[in-house]
Parts: sequence; C-alpha cells; structure tokens
Amino acid sequence: MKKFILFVSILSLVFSLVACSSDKASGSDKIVVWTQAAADHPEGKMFADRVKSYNEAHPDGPKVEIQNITRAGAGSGYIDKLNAAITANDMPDIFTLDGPDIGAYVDSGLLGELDGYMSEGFKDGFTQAIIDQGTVDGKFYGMGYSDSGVAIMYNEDMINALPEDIKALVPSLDQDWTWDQFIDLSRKVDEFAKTSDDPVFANYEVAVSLLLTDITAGAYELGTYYFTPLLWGNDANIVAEDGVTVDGVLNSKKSVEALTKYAQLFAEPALASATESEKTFHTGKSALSVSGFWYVNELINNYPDLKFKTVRYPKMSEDFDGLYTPSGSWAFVRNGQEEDEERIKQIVEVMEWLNNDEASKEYFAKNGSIPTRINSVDAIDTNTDNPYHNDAWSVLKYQVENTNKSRPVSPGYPYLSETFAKDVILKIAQNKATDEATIKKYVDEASKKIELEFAKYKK
Amino acid sequence: MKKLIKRIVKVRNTTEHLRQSEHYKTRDIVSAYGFLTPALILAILFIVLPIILAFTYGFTDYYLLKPNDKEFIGLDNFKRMMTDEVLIQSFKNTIKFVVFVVPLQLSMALGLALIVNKKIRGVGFFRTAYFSPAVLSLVVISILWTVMLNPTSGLINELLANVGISKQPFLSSASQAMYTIIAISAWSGCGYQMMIFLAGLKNIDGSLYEAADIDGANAFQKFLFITIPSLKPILMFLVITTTIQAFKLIVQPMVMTGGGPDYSTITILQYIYEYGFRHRNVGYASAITLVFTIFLVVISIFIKKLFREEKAA
Repeated sequence: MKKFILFVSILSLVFSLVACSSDKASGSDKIVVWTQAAADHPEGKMFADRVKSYNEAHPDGPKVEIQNITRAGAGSGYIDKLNAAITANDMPDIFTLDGPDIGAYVDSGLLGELDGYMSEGFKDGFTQAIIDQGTVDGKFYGMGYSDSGVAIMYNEDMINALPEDIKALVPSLDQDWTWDQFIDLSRKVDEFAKTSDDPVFANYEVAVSLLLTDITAGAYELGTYYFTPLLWGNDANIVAEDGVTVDGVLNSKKSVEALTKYAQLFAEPALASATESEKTFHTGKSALSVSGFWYVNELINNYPDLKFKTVRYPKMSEDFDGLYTPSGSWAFVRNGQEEDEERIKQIVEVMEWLNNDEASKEYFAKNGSIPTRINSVDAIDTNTDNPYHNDAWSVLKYQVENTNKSRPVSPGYPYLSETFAKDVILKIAQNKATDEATIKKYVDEASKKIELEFAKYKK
Repeated sequence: MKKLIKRIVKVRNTTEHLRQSEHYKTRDIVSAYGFLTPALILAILFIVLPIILAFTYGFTDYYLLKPNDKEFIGLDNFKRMMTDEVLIQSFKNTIKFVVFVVPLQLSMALGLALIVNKKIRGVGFFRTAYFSPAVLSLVVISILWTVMLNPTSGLINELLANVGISKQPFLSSASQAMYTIIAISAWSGCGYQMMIFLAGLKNIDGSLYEAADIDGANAFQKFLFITIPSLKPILMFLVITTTIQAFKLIVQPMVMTGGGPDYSTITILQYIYEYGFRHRNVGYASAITLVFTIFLVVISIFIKKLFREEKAA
C-alpha cells in the first residue's frame, strides 16, 4: 500500500511538473497582457505602471494583468513563448509584436482588427507611419506604442578639425541632403583623417560606422531598418504593394542604382567596414555614424566626453519628395480568436489606455520611447541644457512628423527582411562589391530565393 | 505413510513458496514500474514524441503561426531539399568542419597529453591551463575570439603586425572563416580529450618501453609501435564521440559569423534552427532534421563497424 501511495505521489508530481499552466482569460473577468519588455527594464516598468493606473481608474471593470516576458536576442524568449501559446491555442488577450511582423500574424488569422471597436477619432491620433505599420489590407490591427528614427551623427571635434572647405559640406540640422553628398563628405573626411596629425584622429579607423556587425550577429532586422530607406528615397522598395511580389521590385533598376551608391562606402579605400570595432563611433574611431535614436541616451549617459552632432538621414535622390526615413517599432495587438463582442470592446478599451496621448507622453518620459501620437510628439523636449540632446531630438522629431515611413507589410516579412539584410546589404559590405553588375546579381539571387519562399502566399 | 505425509508437506511448502514468490514478483514489478514511470513519461514527452512529431511534420507544410492548418504534402519538402542551395552549402560546410576538426582536435589532444604526461616541474599548471577551455561556455569562447580576431583592432592582428604579417580578415572572409572556426573549435575541445588520452597513457605498462629501449627503439618508434596501439580503444572512442559532436556544430558559427560571410560557415543544425524558429517553417525544418538524423545514424553505425573490424583484426 505504501508503495502504491508512493507511486501515485510520484505520478502526480511528474504531471504537475510537465503540465502547462494556462493564462487563458477568455470568458474570465481578467484581461491578460503580454509584452516583450523585461520586467526590471524601464520599458517593462512603464507598462506595469500604466496597467496599474488602469486598474485603479476602473475598479469595476475587468482586472488587467500584465506579464513582461523578456525578449532575448532578436525576438527569441518572448517570441518562443508566444509561439508556444499559439500552438496551444492559449494566447493572451493583448500582446506586443514588432510592427513589421503584424502582416504575418494577420495572414495566419491570429489578430483581431481594431476598426469599429476604437473610440471615434482614436486611430487618427497616431502618426501616419504608425497607422501604416499597423494596417494590413486596409484594416487596422496594431497600435504602435513607440516610434523610432535613424539619423546621421558626427563627431564634432573631428569635423571641427577639418579644413573649412570640407567642413562646409556638413549640412545643418534643418537641411535635407543626399546620399551622394554624404559619401562625398565621408571620402574627404577619410582622406584628411589618414594624413592628419591632429590627436582627435588618434583612434580613427573608418569614416562611417554602420553597425553591420550587428547584422552578422543575427540582428537582421537592423539591416533592413537602417537601409531600406536607401531604396525608398530612390522611389524603389524591397517588395511590391501586395506584400508578396519581389521579382521586378527588389531587383529593379532603381533598387540596383540605390544599392550601388550605398556600395561606394566599401570602394577602396573603404569608408566603412563590415567588421568595425565595438562602439566605433562612441569611442572616437569613426567620424560619422548612421545612428538609431537609442544612441542619443546611450551617448549622453555613457560617453559624456563625446561631442556629437546630429543631421538628417540622407535622401537617395534629391528630387524624391515622398516619405523615406526609417520608422516603426513594437505595437500592441489583440487576440483574434476572441469572439465575444462585449469582451472585445473591453480589450480595445484597455489597448487605448495603453496607447493614448497620455501614455505616449509617459513612455517618452520614462523610457525615451518616441511618441506615436500626434498630440504627444511635443513631449520631446528640445530645449534642455544639453545641446547635443536638443539637436538630436530636433532632427528625430522632424523626421517623425514629416518623413518617417513604415516598413513594408508582408505576410513573409521576417524572411524578406533577413534575406535582404544578409544576402544584399551585408554581402555587398563583406565582399566589397561596388559594381552594378555584381549588385544586380546579388539582388537577382535574393529575389529568386524570396519568390520561392513566398510561393505559398500566392496559392 | 510417513513418506507420503512428508511428500505432501514438501509439495505444499513448495506451492506456498511459489505462491509467495509470485506475489512478491508482481509487487516488485509494480514498484519497479512505479519508479520507472516518471523517467518514462519524461523520455516519451521530450524524446520519443518529438522524434515521432518531427517524422510526421516532415511530410506536412506546418507553419508555426498556423498550427491547426497543417496539410500533408507528401515528399515536397524532401524534393525542395535537393534544390536548396543554402542547405547543400550548409551540408558541405558541416562535412568540411568534421573532416578537418576531428584529426586536428585529436592530434592536439594527444600532443598535449604526451607533454603533460612528462614528469616535469609545473606540469599540474599546464594540465589545468590546457583543460580550462573545456569548462568555458562555447558562447563565451566565441565572443572572446570574435573580439580578438577583429580585422581592424583585434589582438591577433596586432600580434601579426608586430612580426611583419599583414592583417588578416579571419571571420570576415569567406575563404578563411570556416578554417578559423575549425581552429578555435579544436582549441576549445582538445583539453577534455587530452585528459582521456592522459588516463590512457598512464595505463600503458612501462615495461613495454623498457623492452623497446633494450631493443634500441627510438622515441618515434616507441610512439608508433607502443603508444598508438595501446591507445587504440581510447582513440576509437574519441573518434566516434568527436565526429558526432562535430556534426552538431551550431554555437560557434551562430555567434561568430551568423553563418556568413556568404554562407561559408552555415551548418546544418543552424539552418534547421533558422528555418524552424526564425522562418517558422516547421515542416521543412522537420524534413531536414529527419534526413540529417538518418545520416548521423548511418555515420555512427559505419564508425562502430569500422571499430569492430579493427578490434577483430
């Protein structure tokens, strides 16, 4: 009998260990929110605070429960848990997704649309790039809680050490400039730096830092995020409007033209490197840098001795007057398997709370997340005591309001993005391919690969 | 009569004993199964079931975001493998890695074992130093080497420059990256095998060397005709385990090169991971897994057979 009891106990223990706990909230009086932020990171804390304030303001409504599940690396950790929840049909009511991934989840029928459930005018409160990012086939699915931006930064000490004629090539922060002008400036800086005895160039390695090492390390999305705008600015793209046609678009004449200009950074003597040192720009090893918005806080807080100035992201073609600067970030979406209309309204109400003007301002204040609401963009303070902060945010704010463009919407975006970053952007840099014929070959090969993968979406 | 009673008692006792022992046997079996059950459940859940699932998924178009929408597609995934250039490249890279790393790593391990087997001062320090990479995480090792091999500012290129050798691209060159990974992998793995070789060396009878000395054998002859044959069982064990381990290469290329440049370092396992999790194409990834598993089983059987034949000879 004792052994039987022991046997049953062991079995129960095993089942309790292997059984998956369920967070399924459907039909219950709580609304479950999952985010990719680490709980102890300012981003995780700001979400937790926001949820707390919702629960306090709505004591009679359903209780909102938040789980911040750390994202490890490029989408892993959190995404793994989300995939497991999808397989187990146990998705949370609200969760976060990277903006460009929304198309793939919509195509799989996992997300519920938001039109018809939002308060009147709520959607129009978002900036255009964020609306575009969350829209698939004309329907709105994702409320972006943060925008982003990329600009060009330069080392002020290095630029000040240049002769006046080269210095004159640097645009002011409210001036548009082109990729040709950027390459020209980089080339002249490089020539001067390599012959100068000025101590400011003592650690100089390359003219421009591009962060291509992050693509090598698996952050493929960074490559697409940073460099698809080269194509946009030349009236080209990596995929057609339908989101699944690549041949004739990625390998179009205009795309090749834009990529050939990008490739001039690697023409000998190379102005950029696929294997640049860690923190090249931060440590004074490059004069210029293609920099994400996160650089601003990073440089001010961790590299106080570095004097950096910020100018706009260059246009590929001077005549281009459309949107062309990088944008987009993570967004809140809702579980599309929920069918109870009343509950959907409650869920969307919570989503609005997490993404309204007030939340947008809060997120900027607590985490530096670029506001996605038109009425909150002014929360970006450009009149602080720090001129470097002011310059950088002036440029980024201008781009958010005027030139930011969302990345393409495609059900196969992750594959599209990875192939473009790895087989085109990185390959050009690693092989120092600078001629049009080789670049055309690269984009043709990449298009063929993507078309093969995308065949399933065309059935 | 007495005899009959004795026989009856004997038969009764035997039957009773048998009944008792049968009863005992059944209880034994039940409790044995009871103790086995947790491990069995775990093995079924995490080993048997995934293998069966991978087998079945390999014949479907299973997409991770559409778990309830799997369709049987026959041999389509397997046909696709035949024309998948990156997969073929990853297979070639994996074979290249195995062919180079196994002999290199084992030679290094044996060489180090011979050195630390000498009775010299400070040998304990060297033994620990040579073994230490084996206890470090492969991710840590990969990151450290990536920094040291940086073509612009890495320590290795600085050292090369000091002796008049031009800077090398190492991990950023399609022609050098795989060899660099092979060298690093051999360096990080040989310490563990050195210890196994060392145990083998300690077991070789010293009188064999004494006899060889009397016969006038030189050091190389002693190594060739005494050391190597004595280490043969250990050598074969290490060949099998290192080969299987080498086929499972994933961490170093993933951390150091991401499979590049130009897919020159991508391996089968990395490709399976990328297709299954990054591209969410579980069906295709399962098909590759299936073929790769069969390939590994065949390789293992082949090496084991080779070992048996050697032993028989």
